[in-house]
Amino acid sequence: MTVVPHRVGTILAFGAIAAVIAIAGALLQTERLGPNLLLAGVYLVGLAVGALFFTAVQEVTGAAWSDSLRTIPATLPSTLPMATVLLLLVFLAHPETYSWTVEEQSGLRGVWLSRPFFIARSSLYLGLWMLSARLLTRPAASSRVAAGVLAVLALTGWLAASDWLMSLTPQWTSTIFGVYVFVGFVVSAVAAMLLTCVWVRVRNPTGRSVSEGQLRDLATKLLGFSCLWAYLWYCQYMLIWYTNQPHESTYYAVRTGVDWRVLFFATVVLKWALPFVLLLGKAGKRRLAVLALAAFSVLVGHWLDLYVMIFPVVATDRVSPGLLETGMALGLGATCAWVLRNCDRLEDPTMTGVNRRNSEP
Amino acid sequence: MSGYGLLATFETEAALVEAARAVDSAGHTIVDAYAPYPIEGLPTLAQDQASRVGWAGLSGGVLGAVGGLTLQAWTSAFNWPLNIGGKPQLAWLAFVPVAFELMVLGAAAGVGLAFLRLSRLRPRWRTPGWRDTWPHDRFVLEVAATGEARLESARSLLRAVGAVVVSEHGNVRVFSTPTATAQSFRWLDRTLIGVACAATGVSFLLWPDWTRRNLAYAPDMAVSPAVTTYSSSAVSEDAQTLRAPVPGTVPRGPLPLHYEATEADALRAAVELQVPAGIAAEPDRLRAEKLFEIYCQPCHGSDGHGDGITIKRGFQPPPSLLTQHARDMRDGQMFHVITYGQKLMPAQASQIRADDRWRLILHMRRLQQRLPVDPPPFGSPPAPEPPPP
Repeated sequence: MTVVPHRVGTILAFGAIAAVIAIAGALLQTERLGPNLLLAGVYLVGLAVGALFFTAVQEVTGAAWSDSLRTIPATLPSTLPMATVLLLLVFLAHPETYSWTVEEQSGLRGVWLSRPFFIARSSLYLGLWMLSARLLTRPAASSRVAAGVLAVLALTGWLAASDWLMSLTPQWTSTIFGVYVFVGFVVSAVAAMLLTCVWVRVRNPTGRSVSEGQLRDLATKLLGFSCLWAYLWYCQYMLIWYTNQPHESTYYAVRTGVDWRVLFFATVVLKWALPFVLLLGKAGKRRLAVLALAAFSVLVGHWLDLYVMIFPVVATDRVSPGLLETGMALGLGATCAWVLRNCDRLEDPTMTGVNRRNSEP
Repeated sequence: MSGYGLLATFETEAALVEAARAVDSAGHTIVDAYAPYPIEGLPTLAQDQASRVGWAGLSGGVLGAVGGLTLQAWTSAFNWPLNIGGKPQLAWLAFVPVAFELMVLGAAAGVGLAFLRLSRLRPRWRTPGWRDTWPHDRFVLEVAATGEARLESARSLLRAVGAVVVSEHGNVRVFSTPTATAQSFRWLDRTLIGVACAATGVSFLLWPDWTRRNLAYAPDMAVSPAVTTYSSSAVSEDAQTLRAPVPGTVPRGPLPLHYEATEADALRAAVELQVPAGIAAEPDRLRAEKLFEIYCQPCHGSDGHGDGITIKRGFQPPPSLLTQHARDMRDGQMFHVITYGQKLMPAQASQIRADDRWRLILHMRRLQQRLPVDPPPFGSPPAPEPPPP
């Protein structure tokens, strides 16, 4: 019998506390359970898809700088089964989260937003992602496979964002929404990677697996992707604000209204402005505390981004997150910690395609 | 100029890095290091000395962004306020793209200028000749040292850390001897500079008004000999550009009407005026309907009952156009009423063309034919006898 490592106990205890809080919250407010499950599922999907995207890009470009970090993006897609359970719970047990299950849509929209087709599509996305994760972590993974995975991710990520999040308001459409959500996924995954790297560095300051240069490069990636996210946020907001069409601007009218305004703009501060200021200079990228703060800010900002996307339409009783949301968020943290718990022990990273090629004589 | 700087050549990357550390810790200034490929540990040495490029980029970016925002705010909200699509004049959200582009431009310019400044690459007439004798496959360290004593100590230090060659020809980028060809063309440089200075000076003397364009190629389009409408005229005796028409001038189109806005003149018009033959032949019903909808319907209602939308909002109702009185009214009198107004009804001459007024009359006649007679308004005096035709 093996000795249970110290950290497993900590994570389990943390998860148990989160579960107790979440169950208490769920009992108090059953009607908020659907949106909460959706948020948690999409959050985990985001980490997984973002990590898959990162790995695939590294493979396609033949990048060598990230070789020893690859364990982390290779591990993150392990959140997918959990995400699948959460999302299927929403689709099967809480279909009322989507108003189109109650009010039939007309025409092509009605065909697209029918429950069997919706669930089949969602299963297809999740299946393709799990398959991609399997293919990318094989030792024989090639840049050709990775390029295929990138194409699949682009298409499924866009469709999944439209299906799971945009269809919460069936009348509202925005062509940039899929890209916006997908880039948000990538930002959250890079932030999770950076946070894990900082943790590895703190636990093992002299270890070879994460160098100071790699931390800096990863922080630059986070800065860049965060800016891309902010750019897309601005594009969507500005175009809708400028044309001011009633069927488009209602989305933002609710979110920039008195109730939601603070949370809505806090998203931009947490996911872009704060990390931007922290990571712009060279000095900030050298300090572990600053890196951790920036990454954490992005992770919280991403959660808030999804919260502001989902909750104004489906849970209108109050604005601020309550007991259930707190429990679910802590549970998300515990899940990620559980998935990534062994990342600091692997001095030899997973043998990905590039590693294998580089190690050949 | 020998003795300004030293160039030390090394065989290996490690020797170069070690020498750079030694020279740095001995207090000498490293100008630059040259290697066939980027070296890992070396940049940090150089960065610790000069990392002002980032700050220059930030300053340039902030300057560009603030400049872009200020420019747009000033032009579209203060200097010439424009209402664009009902957006607020200080529409910050719409200013972002331009400010962003200018930020990128400013940052790039800042980085570029700082790079040139820190590399001491200022613009010059003749580019300094890079020494062909510099080895491209070796590792070279360039050290600045002024004064014989400093120079000697730097040289011995470089020899001690394993420099293969230490050359004294120094900082060729700053002090270079022009080649013979360049020497022989120096007169051309001077002539060109002289011409440019003379041209600038002459332009200052000849065109001192900097608030307007002083020199333009083919200015006939921009500056036309015709005077603008309200400017003063040098030709006319009263200095006015706008001239009154010659007395007795008849305008083109409809003839002028010699009537006053009185009831007597209305009765006179009833006798004198008739629907022009051209309009009676081609009444253009669609246009008449449209005109009625625009100018009459708001008060008179779509069928002329006097129940338009303004009446529903509390305006005094006009008498119906379908009463016997209106049916008996002659075309000419009706034309007078539309042209000059009557009681509460304002004159329409300024907004409805004369031919269109006749078309409206024909439209009303059609309404009167189609619809039943309305009773006269309550308490109205009996209709006067129509004047004999």
